[in-house]
Amino acid sequence: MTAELNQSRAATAFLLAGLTTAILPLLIQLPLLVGLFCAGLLLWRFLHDMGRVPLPRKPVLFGLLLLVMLGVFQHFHTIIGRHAGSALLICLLCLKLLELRTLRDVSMAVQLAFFSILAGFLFNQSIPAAVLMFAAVILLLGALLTFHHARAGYHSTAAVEKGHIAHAARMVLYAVPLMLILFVLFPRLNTTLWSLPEDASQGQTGLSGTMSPGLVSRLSNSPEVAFRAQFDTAPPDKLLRYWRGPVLWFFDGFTWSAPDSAPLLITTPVLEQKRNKISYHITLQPHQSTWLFALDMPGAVPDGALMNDALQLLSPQPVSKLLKYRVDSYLHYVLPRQSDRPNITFLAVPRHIGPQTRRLVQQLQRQHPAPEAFINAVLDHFRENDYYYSRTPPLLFDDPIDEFLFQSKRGYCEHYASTFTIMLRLAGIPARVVTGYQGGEMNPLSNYMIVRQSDAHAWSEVYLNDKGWVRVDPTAVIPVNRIENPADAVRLRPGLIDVSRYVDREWYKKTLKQFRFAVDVINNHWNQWVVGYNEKRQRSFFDIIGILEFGWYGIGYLLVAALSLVTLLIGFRILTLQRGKSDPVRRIYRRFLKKTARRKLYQAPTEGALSFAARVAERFPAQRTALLTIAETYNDLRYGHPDQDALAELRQAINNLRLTP
Amino acid sequence: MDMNRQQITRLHQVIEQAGQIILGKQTAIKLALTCLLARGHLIIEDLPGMGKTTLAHVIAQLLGLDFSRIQFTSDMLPADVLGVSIYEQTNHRFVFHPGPIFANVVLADEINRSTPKTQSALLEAMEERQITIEGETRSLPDPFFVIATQNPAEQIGTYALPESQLDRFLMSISLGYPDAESERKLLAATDRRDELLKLTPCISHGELTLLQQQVKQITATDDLFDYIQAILNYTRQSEQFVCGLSPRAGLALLNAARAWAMLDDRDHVIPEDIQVVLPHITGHRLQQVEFNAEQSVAEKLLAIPIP
Repeated sequence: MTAELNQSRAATAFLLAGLTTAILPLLIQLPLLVGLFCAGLLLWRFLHDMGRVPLPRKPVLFGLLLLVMLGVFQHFHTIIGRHAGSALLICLLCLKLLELRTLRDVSMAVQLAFFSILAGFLFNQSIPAAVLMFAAVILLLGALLTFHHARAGYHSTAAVEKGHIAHAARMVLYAVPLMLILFVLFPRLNTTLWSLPEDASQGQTGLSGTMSPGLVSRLSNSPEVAFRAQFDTAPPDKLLRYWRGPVLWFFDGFTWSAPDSAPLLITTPVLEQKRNKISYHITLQPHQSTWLFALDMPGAVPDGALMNDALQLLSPQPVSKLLKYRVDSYLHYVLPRQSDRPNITFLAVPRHIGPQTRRLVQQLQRQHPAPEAFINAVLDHFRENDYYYSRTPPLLFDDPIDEFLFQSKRGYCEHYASTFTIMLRLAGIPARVVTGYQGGEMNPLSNYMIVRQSDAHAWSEVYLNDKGWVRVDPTAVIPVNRIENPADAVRLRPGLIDVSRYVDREWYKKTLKQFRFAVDVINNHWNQWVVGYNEKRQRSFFDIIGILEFGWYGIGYLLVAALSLVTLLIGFRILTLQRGKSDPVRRIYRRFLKKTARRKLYQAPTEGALSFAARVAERFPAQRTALLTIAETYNDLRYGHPDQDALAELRQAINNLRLTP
Repeated sequence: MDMNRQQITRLHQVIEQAGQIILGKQTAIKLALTCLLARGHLIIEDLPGMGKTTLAHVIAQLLGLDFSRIQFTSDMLPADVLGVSIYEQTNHRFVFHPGPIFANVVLADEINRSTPKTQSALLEAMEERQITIEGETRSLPDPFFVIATQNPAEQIGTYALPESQLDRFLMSISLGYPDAESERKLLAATDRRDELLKLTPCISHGELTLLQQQVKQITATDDLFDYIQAILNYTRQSEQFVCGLSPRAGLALLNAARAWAMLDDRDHVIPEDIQVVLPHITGHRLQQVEFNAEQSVAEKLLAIPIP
């Protein structure tokens, strides 16, 4: 007997569908070329199953293998790591499809597919990913069942094949309680189990730690959630929702950055004046960098976080998984004055930059020598001239400051922040750029605020001798009518414009918005309770249900006990289901078997009902007729012409049977 | 089915009367009739002198069928079986002289003594139920029932039938030695040949054909198919057999079981029917890998649980 693969069209269809579902979350994270390659291989296999094309020979497969290795290495410059490894995995998995010859190949492909589902969770742990996982597992199990079924030579119909999917779904359903127990009770580790080298080439959506023209506006259309904030106090006024992020002070003529990591503060700066305290939690989406966000200005450093002397909150490690922290901020504050005036770092301007701007600054400075007056003059310049706030500003090339200020006059927040900061520096006022988010939307269905990537913003911070560092947002002076995008207008001028003009009147848009909020509520809970279920949360959960005092050993025993109990329950359920599934004939007949079993007479698996009845009749000759009637009626019901009367007859005969010698 | 009760009762008479001549072989007689009802052919593997000819003759006699016997030898040609056209001087044309195969019940004695050529002439005729000679197709009589006998192959001068040919026989039985009581009766009895010739048919030609048609209408439910498939799959997957049972063997199993159920006066097949005919359907079809296996094929197959 060879293990030759018994071809079943449905079986390969299930396999292909399951595989596609399994690798989908990975494909969207990987270069398009990988997706096209895999789609090509899947199509090849599909056409083969339709009887159109042959499978490739060994040398072709080998060539494709080399191509994959080279391609992956060429693109990622490595073949290990999260992205390169996943790309390699799914390419090879799809290649495996072209040499499915035996059942063993199929099992292997399915196992690889399971592995790629796991790999998918390295990228995406959202609800859709989890749903896809279930779908993929069910399809793959269904495929396995169908292959084995065909291999065993059973007759297959469309109904039978559908039944396999249902069967697979049942198997997954039975596994769910075990999954939940393991998830809740299995000890969580404080760190991630594996640490994968991150590929340098992969950018994450979000702030990048540098700022150049076009970099923030790139985010303006991204509805991705940056973080969510849950307030213990009333949420801040819309105009004051400045979420402080990376602070940048080095300008090379085009890009702002913070090249030397600023020294960390040992003690938190004591705000000289503080009012309007806001207490809140932030649940930060992973962004692979170290910075944390807080409302301007945090009064203290959250547990486990750091702060540098640019007053930026930092995490000790890159935020690679969902991070939750608690902050208290003061909306109105005065920072302590520094003992020495900020040095040249905050005054440097590349020499070749902005000859025209320099002239403008000199002219304004002559008219307004005092720093505060100068700042207002610059802001007035933006306010009174035709400067527009635009998501699609013209590209700037050689001198972004001059080109923006005198030619294009259309810019996103980074243009304004950058130009404003440079102008102040040229006037001898220390200034720096702060990036972060501005705005945020309360979810009306639940009590938290969503801050999206599209809320990304940049503003300036200016050092005034008597006030310390002060926030100035040059974008804020652009009149509403010069804000090109209504969404930006609503965001930046919440109080100043008639919002109703921009509110969607169509019911479907309203519904859609409502629906989005609802989805976000669910996502938030998912993040808090599933993705964010870490060691700390596990401990507090154990505390709530009162098992924390058991200690880890006790919880270990509890885990084993719970798993055993659930397995037993499921086993029992499967057994009773199988009995229940059997038709009433078998159920009634089983009563007969119970009666004979009491007399130590058991029907052998190979014994027909009639032969068994005859055997029983030898022990109990008085009941011979009754026994034979039972067997004949049973046979008639199962192998002859079932009818209700016969069933009643069988029940009657079995109930009346008394096995007494 | 009720309308056939009469005919089935007559078949029971056939079995009973045959049993008086071939003593102690009720089951073998019943199996032979089963094979006939299922429109199959029978192969008897046994030593000479066990009553094979008598069995064939008795069945033919009791069913009112004509009977012929072909003794196969190594120098036999197909024409000796099928018939031959001979030129007749008087009317100047060839006239076909039908061979011994033109009979309802044909006993092909010691079929493995003849050459493969002659064997296949017979086997083809069995399968097609017609023969073609010199471009002319002639139907064989209906019912057409071949009982072939085969000596154990170890004897010298035999051409054993290959498995593919054996597959054309629906069932195989072997008569074996009679038990002591039957043997004594046999010794004490008068000449059986006279008794045999005195037998009168119990059933008419038409009734027999009707019964053969009715066999196909015996009910077999899905539950029964499960059992048959379990058996077929077992033979195909187990490493113990040289090759598994063919689909034709599966059909043979079902049809034989139907005929047996009919003889048992039942309108549906039950697993016991399968179990009775199973050894006779698979005996000549399945070959074990292991030469002197501990368990016979039948024992292995009967150990498959009924689903």
